[in-house]
Amino acid sequence: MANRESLAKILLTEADASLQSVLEVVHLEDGQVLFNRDDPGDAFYIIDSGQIRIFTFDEAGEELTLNTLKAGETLGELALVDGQPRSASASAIGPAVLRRLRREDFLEMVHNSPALSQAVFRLLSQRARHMTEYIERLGHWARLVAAGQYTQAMANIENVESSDRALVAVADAVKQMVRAVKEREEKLRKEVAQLRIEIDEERRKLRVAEIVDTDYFQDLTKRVRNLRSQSEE
Amino acid sequence: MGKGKIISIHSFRGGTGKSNITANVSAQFAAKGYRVGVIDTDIQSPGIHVLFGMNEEQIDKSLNDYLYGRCKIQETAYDMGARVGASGDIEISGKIYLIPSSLRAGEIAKVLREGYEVGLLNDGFRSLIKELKLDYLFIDTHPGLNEETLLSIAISDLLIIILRPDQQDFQGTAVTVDVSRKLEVPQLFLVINKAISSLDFADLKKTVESTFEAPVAAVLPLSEDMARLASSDIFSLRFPDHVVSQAIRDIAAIVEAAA
Repeated sequence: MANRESLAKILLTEADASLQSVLEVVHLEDGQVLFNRDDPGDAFYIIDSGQIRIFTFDEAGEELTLNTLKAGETLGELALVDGQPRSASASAIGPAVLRRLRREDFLEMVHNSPALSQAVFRLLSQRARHMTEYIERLGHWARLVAAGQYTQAMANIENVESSDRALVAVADAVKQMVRAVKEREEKLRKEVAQLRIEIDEERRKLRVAEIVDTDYFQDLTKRVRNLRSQSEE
Repeated sequence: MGKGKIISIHSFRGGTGKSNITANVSAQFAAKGYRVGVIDTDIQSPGIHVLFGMNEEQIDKSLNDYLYGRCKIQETAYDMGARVGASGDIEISGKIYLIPSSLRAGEIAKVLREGYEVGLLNDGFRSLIKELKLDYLFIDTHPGLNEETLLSIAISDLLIIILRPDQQDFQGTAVTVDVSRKLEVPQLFLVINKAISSLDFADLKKTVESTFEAPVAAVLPLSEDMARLASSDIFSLRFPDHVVSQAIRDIAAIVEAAA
């Protein structure tokens, strides 16, 4: 996470003079949206005060918080590089003050500062590693859940370092999933385990009587009794 | 040794794995050194010979020939020792004889049409025990409760009823247990076969035992491994370490202790 701050630091120190002229101050009220997912990615932000929540929507349309950023951190750095639409939404938690750097101004600054372009490279590679680690962790948890090793999966999820808020958010979602799966499975097991044995007693008596009341059966019982007493002698 | 006990293995409905369990349990007894006979009284749909690797051409005289007075019953007994021994690494120190039913369509039709003197079965069982000096005679019965099956149950020293954990088998088994008690069978055990893995086996055993007031000798899982063998061999000898084979040995141990 240190690299997120370092881009801001470099921008604010090394490119200070030229930066001041292009940075634009943005004031947000509590809950106010900075940008929405799929909006054009045309700017980068440095948080001066307050907190910014990064969120998206899951398949059910429920909000899912991916990260919470605080003063000194930056957001939208990918947009500066590739200009792609926003991959998530951002809104303020409480009042917040940010400074905005437009993509076109940034590209011009990078052009003139080798230190800044190096910082961008570092940031991007850091993010790529981070994503790979993310996927590996998720894969590991999925394998544990698939194998029914819920206790181990839970212990593993609990171990997620709290400094990585995005991962903590995903870990929470997985934790909920493990609990739900486990609960459903236990419920089903109980239902199956309590396999009811229902015997129609009327039909049972009727069937037994049909067999027992025949001459053959009566005769057989007598003959077998004789046989048994003979073999015991 | 020389006990000459009759063990009937029965199920109310077909498809319970009765023949398979009969073949496996009897083979375990032979492996222990006993002299064992296995008789296929499922004349209407014979099948246990397949498990011992026997085909139609190899069956000359059958139980049908004895029942229609064409030969003595001991002439219909085939020594399976070499066949059973060849399939696994376990040495069969005892003897295992199979008395098959005829596979000929004409013979099966004759039984269905004319029936036979059921009393002959009893005489046949006694002759087999005496002539072949059998310690145990296992009877693979015809499902249901017809006259020959009732006779087999009646003259048994020990009866094993195989059932699957489903409502139809529970109902049929209830009737079979009641009828067997009226016939004063000295020993009665239940074996649950084809139990799906999600069932709690210990709980199932307890529930069945209290419902039928009879001991459950073993709960066998529904086994894909056993199905893959497609009834072409004695599973418990070929795969002695399998969980199903352990259950088969449990049944054999319980039967040995009881009868």
